[in-house]
Amino acid sequence: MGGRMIKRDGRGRGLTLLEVMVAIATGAVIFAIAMGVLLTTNQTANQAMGHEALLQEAQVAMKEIRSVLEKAVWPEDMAATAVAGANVVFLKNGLALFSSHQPTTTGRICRYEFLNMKGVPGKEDTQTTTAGYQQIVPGGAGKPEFRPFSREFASTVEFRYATQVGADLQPVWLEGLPSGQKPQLIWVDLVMRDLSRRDRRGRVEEVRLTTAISL
Amino acid sequence: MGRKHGHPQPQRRGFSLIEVLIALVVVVFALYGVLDLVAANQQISLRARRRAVATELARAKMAEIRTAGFGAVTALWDKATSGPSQSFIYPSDPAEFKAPYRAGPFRWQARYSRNPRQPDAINVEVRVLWYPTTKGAPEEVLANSVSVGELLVKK
Repeated sequence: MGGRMIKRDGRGRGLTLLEVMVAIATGAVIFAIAMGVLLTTNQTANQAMGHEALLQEAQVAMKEIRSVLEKAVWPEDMAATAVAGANVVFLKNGLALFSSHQPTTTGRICRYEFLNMKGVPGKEDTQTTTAGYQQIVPGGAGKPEFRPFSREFASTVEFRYATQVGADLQPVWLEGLPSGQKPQLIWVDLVMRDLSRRDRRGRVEEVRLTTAISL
Repeated sequence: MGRKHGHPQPQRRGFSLIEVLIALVVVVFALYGVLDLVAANQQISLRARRRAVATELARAKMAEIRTAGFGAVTALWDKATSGPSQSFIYPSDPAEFKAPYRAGPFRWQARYSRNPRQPDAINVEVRVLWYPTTKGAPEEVLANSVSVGELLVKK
């Protein structure tokens, strides 16, 4: 202390307390900065991976919706098959139609019902809305199973329909259509949310994919 | 730490303040480089997400134009241009997506072109771009946009 040195041997000398303290303080500052950078990097990587997972789930779900809608079969096309209850239902938050997407082993087409379910099946106590679909095999026994678009994330799906496109190439979107009427375009808005993550503003992280499918 | 009690000065000495400061500056620059990489990574991730959303929007616009059909596009072409032309852009400035779309920063524009040898076909290219970075350099505009193309044929 006070510049007094401790002599250890003839060649070197020890460190003063002040030097040791300065070294520790400098080390601590560098360590804190390095840890900050490490934590930020880690947090950012986690966030990016979370976003990526959310986006991928949404893209897979949208692909599934597109596949079903592009292979839609209308009641008039099924006149020969005489499927009971072959009606098509168009609602803002739901859609029921027949499609040749993933036909049964006997080659029969299935009825698909897209809807938003309040509460994840099996976890009905939660207030999460999960979008998904039910595939109903004509003549099949048992209750159809609800297949959520994602097992991990909450989601909602919305539909709009257009039967005509204006002169400026803008479709006239409707929230519903009379049963059985064939739309020319179906607008799909899918929102997938990761309720376990929030961004810096405290908002739940979500991915919104919107598309229109021509029939 | 100079001489003490007449002892000879030891050969080893500590770091001078300027050396310590230079070392600190080097460390800070290195950390800044790491942070810069993190920020760049974040930007790339955001861009990838926007590209995915923009692709679906571009496909949506293309579906709308396809549904409108060759006749509607031809009528719009005649209305929007005066005299013969091989291509036209509509809307002239990137337009917002109208309701029910909730497309935030995304805008769209379509370019229609035709080959005189193929009068019954129109090449449609829909471009979806996103603001605010689209006001930047041309290469930045290109990086912040997605295009899909399709041939519209007279039926």
